Amino acid sequence: MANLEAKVKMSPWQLGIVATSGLLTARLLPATSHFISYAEQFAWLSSTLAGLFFYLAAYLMIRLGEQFPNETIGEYIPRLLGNKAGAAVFLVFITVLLVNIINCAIAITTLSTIFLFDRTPQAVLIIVLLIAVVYCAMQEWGTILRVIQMLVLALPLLYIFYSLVWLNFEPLNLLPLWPDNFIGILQGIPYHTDYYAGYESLLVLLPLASRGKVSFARTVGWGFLVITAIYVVGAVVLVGSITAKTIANVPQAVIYGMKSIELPGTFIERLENYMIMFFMPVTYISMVLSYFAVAEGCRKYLKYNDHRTFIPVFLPLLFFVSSFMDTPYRREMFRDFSMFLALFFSFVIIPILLYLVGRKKGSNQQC
Amino acid sequence: MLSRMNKRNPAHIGWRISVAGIAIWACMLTTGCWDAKETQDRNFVLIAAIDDADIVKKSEDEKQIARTQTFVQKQGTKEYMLSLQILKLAKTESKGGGVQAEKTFVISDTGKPMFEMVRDMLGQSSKSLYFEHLTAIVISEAAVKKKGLRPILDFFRRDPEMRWRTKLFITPGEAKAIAQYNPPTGEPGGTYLNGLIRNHKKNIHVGGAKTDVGYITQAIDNGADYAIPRLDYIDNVPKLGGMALFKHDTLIGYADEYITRGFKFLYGTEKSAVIPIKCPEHPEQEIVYELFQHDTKLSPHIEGDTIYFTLDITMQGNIGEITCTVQHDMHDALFLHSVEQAVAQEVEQNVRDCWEFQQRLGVDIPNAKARVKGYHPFEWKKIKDRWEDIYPTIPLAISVNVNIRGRGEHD
Repeated sequence: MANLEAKVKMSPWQLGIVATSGLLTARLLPATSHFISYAEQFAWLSSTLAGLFFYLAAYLMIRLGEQFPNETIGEYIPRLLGNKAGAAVFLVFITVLLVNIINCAIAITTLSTIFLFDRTPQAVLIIVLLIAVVYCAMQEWGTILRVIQMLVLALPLLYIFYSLVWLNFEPLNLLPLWPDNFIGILQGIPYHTDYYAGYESLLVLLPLASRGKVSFARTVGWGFLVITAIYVVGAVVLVGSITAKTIANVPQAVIYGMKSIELPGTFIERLENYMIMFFMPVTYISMVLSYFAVAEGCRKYLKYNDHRTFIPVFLPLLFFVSSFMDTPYRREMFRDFSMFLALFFSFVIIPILLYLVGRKKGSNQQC
Repeated sequence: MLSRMNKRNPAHIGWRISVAGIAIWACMLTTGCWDAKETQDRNFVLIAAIDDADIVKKSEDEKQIARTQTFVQKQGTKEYMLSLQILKLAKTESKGGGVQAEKTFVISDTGKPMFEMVRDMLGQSSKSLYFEHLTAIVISEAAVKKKGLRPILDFFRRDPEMRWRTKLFITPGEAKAIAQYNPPTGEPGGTYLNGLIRNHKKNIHVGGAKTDVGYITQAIDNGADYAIPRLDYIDNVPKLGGMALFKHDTLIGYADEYITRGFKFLYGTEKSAVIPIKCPEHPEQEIVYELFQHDTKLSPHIEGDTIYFTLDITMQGNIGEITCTVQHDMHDALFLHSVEQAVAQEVEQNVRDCWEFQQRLGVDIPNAKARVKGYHPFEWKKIKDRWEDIYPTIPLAISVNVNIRGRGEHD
């Protein structure tokens, strides 16, 4: 019998599934009211443009990774930028992923504290969640891959369940269809950072995928297309059901959308609690993936044999920062910080690195 | 052997003990056992009734009672009286002679923030008050006229324990009296009220669609006008009928059963309503049309400087009852067509009266504003500042198409 745990390579399609299955997390719940306050009923358009925007970032990362086959960012960055600048960029990369884990932990535990464990201290939920994430991230890649492939089944279930919101749909809430708020639509795009969480892990995952006939850009692109379609249809139904103004006034709009559903003739009530149940595995995927990418990146950067060495190192930091974000003000500050950091990394650092790679290759050819 | 000895060193043992300790501690705190509260340890609130606090000053007796239903507060005024109908979980004993024992009891408090009153009521309740099964919020006209609906509803919209589908009612009288009502069916009052409003699809005099906490919240968020079912309580009998009309957050007036019927024709929210008309051949007698399928389309139109709305109604139904003393030939297509025409005229007149009534009051219950804005966004920008002046002058062109599909079991 094949040892599945020892498997260290995945197919391009598996890469597409893994990299994009971590995008949809509970982070989108508080972010929804934020970006709809800008985009209003044109949220669907803002989400469509955001899908293209963030796929562009992922595409640039794939292009960068393809310049260094079988190497992670931690290996080629010192050669490209030198030791000091390379260390700084690597630190930003690690921080972006750690911030994703912290944001996921804050989002899902805040939700659980409000709706499920109203008297349990949030710090307790955070440590329990982090221990579960650590346990999975400590495994070999083959095991992690299979855990993700199993848990990703929660994503269609989540979406099917969410589709119940259509019961309250009213087309009038979406009108006018012709957008007159282009600035708001564009302002809403960067706030989708919470909708596309942790795709930066591609910079570590690319060497784990074997090159086949299908390009990574294509498989990851299909994943982004599916996720973006989910977001666009989700925005249409949510705005159509509870109106853009109400979404802007509630902190967890998707949950409140579920709260407004009344299933005729059934005894099932409080559907929002089931929704939270489905959000847990999909958020867990993103946290595990980001944590593994951090540890694997550090292993390659510091030339260690085992990624597990680095997993406990970040645990206290993750716990204390997540626990510290216990007020709405702090959470918003942290969310803004993480948005700017992620955008800076994706749209400033990565293009600069690609430019440097291009220039270096050009000069080598001349030589 | 060496590796086994290494694994038994004190640091390794300490690490294992720590991990086991964290695991046990985490399980204890997250399994929900430590803060679990059993059903019998909760007081289930079924109705929240809100009155003007001044009603407790009516008589000396009530003043005495009121002293236990309040608290000393350092700031603010006693604006409202909140009464909660609570389910008795203990087995109720019959009073004998077929009289049902009460399944609920009511506690009250006066103050301004609802949350503060709820917490002060724990001084009258041995168990925590649990709002997950709150089925109805009854607000008196006097209370809602004080500061509008928003401050009253805020607690019920903000607390995660509340539900969006909780029914809302406005009563011209005392809300507490409705909370104290003991239905003859033996069911708790909250369940009874919930059942009453659920019948709105068959009762054309009750406007029960989209009038719960969730939809009213949406209307408030969008600055839209809205209607809430009117609940009267006369001679110890609650009766639903008509609607209380709100402009933004202010109670403007009431729509009677006839106007409510017009609103329902506008919305198409009734599923099995009955429409009585004068018999075309015997005007002193009536024929009742039983509606079972209804489609409406309300559309705004702008032509130059003229704004008007069109309403297309299609109805399908049966002959439900004929009070004529003479038997009609139900195979006579001309007679059936004349009945269809008469129903169409009745519906058209009702809708027109309803449209003009709300224009006179200045309320926009069908959300004409959102329709103009949604279908004609560019023209809306030009007229939005003058909307309040334009709205009362907008005409409605009505087209009603009625079909008779059946004539009942027996002619």
